[in-house]
Amino acid sequence: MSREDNHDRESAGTGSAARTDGGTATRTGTGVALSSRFGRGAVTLLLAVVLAFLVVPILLTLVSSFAAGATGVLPEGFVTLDNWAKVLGFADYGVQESVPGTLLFSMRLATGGMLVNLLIGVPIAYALTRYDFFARDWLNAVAILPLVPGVILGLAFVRAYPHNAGTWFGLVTGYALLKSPFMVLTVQSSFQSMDLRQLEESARSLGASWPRAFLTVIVPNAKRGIVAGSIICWTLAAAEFNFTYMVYSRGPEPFAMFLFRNITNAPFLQQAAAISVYFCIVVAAILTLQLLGNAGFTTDRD
Amino acid sequence: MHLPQRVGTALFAARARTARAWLRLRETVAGLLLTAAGLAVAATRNGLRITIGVLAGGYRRLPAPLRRGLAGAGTAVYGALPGVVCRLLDRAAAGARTCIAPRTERERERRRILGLTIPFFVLAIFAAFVPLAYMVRMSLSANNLRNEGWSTDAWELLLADPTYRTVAFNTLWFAALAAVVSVAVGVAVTHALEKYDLPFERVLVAIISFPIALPGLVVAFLIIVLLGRQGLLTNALAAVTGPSNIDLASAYTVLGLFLGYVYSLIPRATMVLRGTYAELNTDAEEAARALGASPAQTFYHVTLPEIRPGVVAALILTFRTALAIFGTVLILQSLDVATLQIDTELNVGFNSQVAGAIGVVYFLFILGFTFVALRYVETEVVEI
Repeated sequence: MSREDNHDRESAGTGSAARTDGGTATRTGTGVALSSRFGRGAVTLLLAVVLAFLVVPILLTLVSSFAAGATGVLPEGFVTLDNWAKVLGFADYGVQESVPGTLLFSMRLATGGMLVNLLIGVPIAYALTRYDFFARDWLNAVAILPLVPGVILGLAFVRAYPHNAGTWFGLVTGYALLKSPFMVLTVQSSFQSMDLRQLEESARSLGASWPRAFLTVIVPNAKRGIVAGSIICWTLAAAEFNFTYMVYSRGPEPFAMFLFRNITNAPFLQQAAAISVYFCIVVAAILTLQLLGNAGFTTDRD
Repeated sequence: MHLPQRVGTALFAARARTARAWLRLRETVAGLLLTAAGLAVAATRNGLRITIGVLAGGYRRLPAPLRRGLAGAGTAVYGALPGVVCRLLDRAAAGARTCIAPRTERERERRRILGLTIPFFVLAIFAAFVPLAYMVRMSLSANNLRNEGWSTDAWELLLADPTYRTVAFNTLWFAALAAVVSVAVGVAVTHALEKYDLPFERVLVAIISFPIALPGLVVAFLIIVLLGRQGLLTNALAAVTGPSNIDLASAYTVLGLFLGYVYSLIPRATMVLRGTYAELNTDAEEAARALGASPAQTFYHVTLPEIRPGVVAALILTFRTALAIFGTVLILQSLDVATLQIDTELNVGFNSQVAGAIGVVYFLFILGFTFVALRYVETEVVEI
């Protein structure tokens, strides 16, 4: 917008003149406005800069993870799998705790959080979409907006459940609460595209009890949203850091803590390999979401 | 009648009988529970030393006159209660009956809504309300290791010490600036994606959405990759200009942190704005262009007013997200914001009371901000 704004300010004089007479075509003859000559180019250039800003560091990290050295402008010494081998625990030496162990632990935690989210997210999304009831709007806001930041929730968890906060049970509970809005929102957008009342009533008039209608007719129809929501929740929980950092003290290390230790201590190329592991997970998640019809890593449908 | 028909009829009758019996059973149970509740109230109020359980169980089996007498006494006691209590009891009794033995479709629907939302409430209570209550108590505790004794020292320190005012100020201006810049860039990016016929649009959208999945920790690392001492831009600039690249490294400055914030926020802003752009009516824009307005004028006078709800929603979302960022600032450490201050309080002397107090203020601020902001936009559009 900033560039657009600049152009607008440059043509502010003529702009206000055009507005006073209701925007009729009085500007003919003053030459072509700056924005029609450069506007599109400038905005496209900004898009290119933003894309580069977002993508270059990711690609550089990925490329560096296959390099042998990184002292110049660009990493050098391709292609070596040493960093990956060290990080993945195949080398003789390297990080003390390898990625497979910690990643597997985090995957289990994320799966646990995702299952809890399925149990709470799908029913409440249905209730919020299908029925109208007392304080529905408030409940909707609470269910789809993450109201507690991870750091604060972690701080509160440690004091409320001193013995359980850092265990798998505490982590799963925290992840479930923190990521539940994504599940509710994705499933809700699926429900909103269906005629729920008609579906429910048809099923019931054909003799299905209400629980049966819900479980065998409505839930399967919202499959796309449920799967998309599960993927989003799972991916976000697999590398959840803020909450994990506050509650983790000992025991098996979650993946985010492994990343944290690597980013603060390990040599650059090993950090790059460790983070690239997570990039691979995200790429897989985005590809699946696109197959399901979502516009990338969002709850938004294409 | 033929045998199969007779069997069918008998089966049908049996099923209807079972259903009736089941309903009667549930009504009875509900009635008994209510009676027990009423008698419990009566007993505690009148100081009668009777075993409530025995009475409740036996009530139905009592001889009719005695039962009527008891009911009369109950009614009398009930009538003596203050009106508010009566109404509350009525509501509770009606609610309990709705859940145990709903009679109308409306009541069955209420029971369904309750059943569908209860799992969420259970999680919210155990994972949010209870811990947050503990955190409030923590800020008022006299002991920093467990909730013990009462002390308002932390809150007094928070009000008196100018450090905390600086932290609050830092948090707010930094998050607000990052939100405004991200949304401004987001508008341009969305405009290009939606209005211009770019190749591989789906791929571009997917790439822009990628950082949403990255934790703040990884974002900090990516900023170091760009601007750290060995960073790409640092090295490139050093190669061009000559000075030692240590001086150019800006990942650990406020600028680096700002870029980290923007890195997390631009994708979120873009995804919210895409939703608004998708619903845009292009007729007015085409008319403005045909009438001779320049693209900038068209954008400012026609497009911008139409996407205003999306812009507001994106600002709300990015501001809220910026407030909650922790991993990025923990690694880059260049500005004291509230989340980092909580960590500092815990690391230096374990001032859990002060950390708790900051947490309470922070949570209340986010809650208040969200509910005030929601008055201006629909809830659904605020989320990515």
